[in-house]
Amino acid sequence: MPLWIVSGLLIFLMLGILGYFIYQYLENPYRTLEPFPVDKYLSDYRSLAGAKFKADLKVSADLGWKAETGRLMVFTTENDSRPIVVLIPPKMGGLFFTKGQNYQASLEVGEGGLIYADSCEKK
Amino acid sequence: MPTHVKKSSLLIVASCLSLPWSLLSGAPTLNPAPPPQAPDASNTPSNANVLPTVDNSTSSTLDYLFNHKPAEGSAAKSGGDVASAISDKIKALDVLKTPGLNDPQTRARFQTYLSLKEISDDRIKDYFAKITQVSEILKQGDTFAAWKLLYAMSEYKDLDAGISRELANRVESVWMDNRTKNGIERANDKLRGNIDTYDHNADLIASDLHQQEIEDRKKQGNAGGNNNSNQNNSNTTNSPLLNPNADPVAAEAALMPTMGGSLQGKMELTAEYIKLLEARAKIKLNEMRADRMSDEGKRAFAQYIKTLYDTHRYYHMIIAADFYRALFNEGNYPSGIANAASSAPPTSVGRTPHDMANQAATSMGINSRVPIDMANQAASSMGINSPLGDTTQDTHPVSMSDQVTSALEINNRVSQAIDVFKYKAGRGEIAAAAEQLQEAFVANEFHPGLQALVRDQKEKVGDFLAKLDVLKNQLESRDFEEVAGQLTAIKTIASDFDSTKPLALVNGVKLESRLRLGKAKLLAQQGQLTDAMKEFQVAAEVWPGNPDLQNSANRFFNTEDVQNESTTEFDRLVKEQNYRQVFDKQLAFAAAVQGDMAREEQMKTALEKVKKAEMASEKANMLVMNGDVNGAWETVELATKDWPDDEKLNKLLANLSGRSADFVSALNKARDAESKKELGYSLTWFVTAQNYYPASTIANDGIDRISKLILSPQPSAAVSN
Repeated sequence: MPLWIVSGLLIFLMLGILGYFIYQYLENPYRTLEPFPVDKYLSDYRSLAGAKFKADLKVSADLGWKAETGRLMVFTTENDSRPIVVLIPPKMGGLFFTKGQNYQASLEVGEGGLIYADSCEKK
Repeated sequence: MPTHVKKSSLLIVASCLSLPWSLLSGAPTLNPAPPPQAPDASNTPSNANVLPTVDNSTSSTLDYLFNHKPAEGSAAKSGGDVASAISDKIKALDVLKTPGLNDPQTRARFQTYLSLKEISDDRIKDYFAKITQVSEILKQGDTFAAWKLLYAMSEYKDLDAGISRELANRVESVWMDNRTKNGIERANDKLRGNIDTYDHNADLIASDLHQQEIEDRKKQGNAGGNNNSNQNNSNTTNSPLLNPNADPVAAEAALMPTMGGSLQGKMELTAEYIKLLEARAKIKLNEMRADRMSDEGKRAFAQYIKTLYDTHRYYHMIIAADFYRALFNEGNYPSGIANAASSAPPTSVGRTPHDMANQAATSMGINSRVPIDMANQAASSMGINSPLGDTTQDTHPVSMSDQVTSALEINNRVSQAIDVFKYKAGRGEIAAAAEQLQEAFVANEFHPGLQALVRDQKEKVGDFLAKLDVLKNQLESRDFEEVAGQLTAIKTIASDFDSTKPLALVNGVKLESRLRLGKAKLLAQQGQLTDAMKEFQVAAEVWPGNPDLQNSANRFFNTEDVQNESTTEFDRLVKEQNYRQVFDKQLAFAAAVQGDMAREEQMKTALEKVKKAEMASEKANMLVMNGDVNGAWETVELATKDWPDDEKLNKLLANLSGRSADFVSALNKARDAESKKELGYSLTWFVTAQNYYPASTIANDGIDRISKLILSPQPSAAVSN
């Protein structure tokens, strides 16, 4: 096998991988969001009100569910062990949360400091 | 002036000193009771403001004590009845009676007698022998020898007391009367001789006058009619004067017409007649005097005998009676209207005075069928008002024979009583001995046998009676706590003293008092202070010396004061929510608020709060010891929710807050957010707090509560989408 052929294949492969990652990056909806600042939230949620964040969440507890309102879940984030309460809206009712599962979610701090999940994907 | 200044200064200083003390002591100053007047509604409020504050219970108690008399059927009335019944029972105790010594004078004489030294038996026998000898000599008719013996008897001054000498004087007095009567009789005999002389002289003068009239008639040659008439008149006029039974005045009047003829002779005749009349009158007067002297002598001697009898000089009375028979030559004693009292009107109970007197005498152990005078005397000696009275004696003199009989009987009884006394005293049975001695003394305190009794034995009786008096006084004054000791002391003197009845009486009274006191306490505890006071008073009346009475009284009145103070303090502490003070003084407060529903509920609430707080405190301490500081904090925190102002809990809470700062901070933030309706933020902090302390009730409750609010179909304003 000539050398240039091998070198060409390697370059192609590398480009393919690079393209894949670029594609993946460009396709990630959370790529533009800031990680959820748990510490700041707990200090004063009002500064975060109305902003959207991304967060890698780990299921801690289920506080309840209402069909009209959604599901109240307790998560911890990757960077902070302190729990936060997130309301999973009814549109994501199909998700089945089990303690210890990891999710990536887009979070928005609403009035009264209640955190809403705009989207949530299982990692 | 300086003196006045000093006095004024002293008064001011005294006032200043007394004022603070009265204020410090807090003693209520009761105003003097106002005079009774019609209630005036307009005055009431002002009086209420002016008068010192006296609580209702105290005022009702004072009102009861000073303004109420025991009503029929009330506790106080029954108490009075009980006290009266006890007094009657005490008086009815046989062992306390001293028969015959109720009369203070007799009692005093008896006390004196008990302390007198005894007289030797030989001396008494000699004296008795002389008494017997006097009676025997009198029976033989030798009054003079008997009279001489009386002087010999009077030498026994300690036994005789000079009575024999006085009796001898009385006998001598009778003899003197007899001598006087003899002198009168001799004078009468002389007068009778004079009368004969006067008669004879009168006859001679009359004869001379008759001869002279005949001679004058012859000389004048007058007619015989007149002479016959004069003669007849002379014979007629002389004859009445010669008759000793003729009326002297009528005789003299008849004689007077004849005196015109021969005046001189007739005057002589008249003088003789007057002498004759005088002599006859003197004889009559002397006879009357002699009779009166005889009667008076007999009466005086009989009276003296009665006096001897009345003064219990029975032996002398018997001798005097024998003298009476001898002196006045009477075969028997003079009889009065003896036993007339038996016909006296019956008393209200249908008994004759004689019966009553006999009954009194019977109680002394004397034969009940004794003569009236003796029964009277016995009753009188026992302090009983003589049922026969003086009226009977005045209207119906007692026969001397009855007096002699009763005197003999009494002497016999006294002798028997003395023998029994000696026997009982020798056996140490002083109670029975004392009874015998009292009876003997009351019957005849001058009985020589009594004087022979040994002083040591008599003093035992004296000690016994003195202690019996003390016992009686103790019972009557209801000093029952001393009675047992007194009974023991009496028993040591008199082994035969029956203490059963006094002890039973005392125990009964004590029990009654204790029961009343217990009832008073019960009523006081139930808040029925008026009724309690009544029972308390009855208990005090029944047994004033009850040792429990003072303590109970102190407790009773202190309880009232404490109750009033406690109520005030309780209200203040409840108002301050100082339930711990209420808890600490719960025993005092429990009694104070009993019956007051509102305060009882407050008391219950206070105790429950403290109880919960104490339990929380204890639980927190346990949790701290196990390392569960958050749990300890939460326990105290929950307790403070129920009682936020408790210092102890707050202090403990503050202490624990520092040791569980994260948990406490999370909860505080959660609560703060919840209060601001920041439900999401609050829920996060509750969850955070739960993360610190998973068992936290506050956190879990908060999570449930907030979660439901967020998930509610009608969410709050915080849930926006």
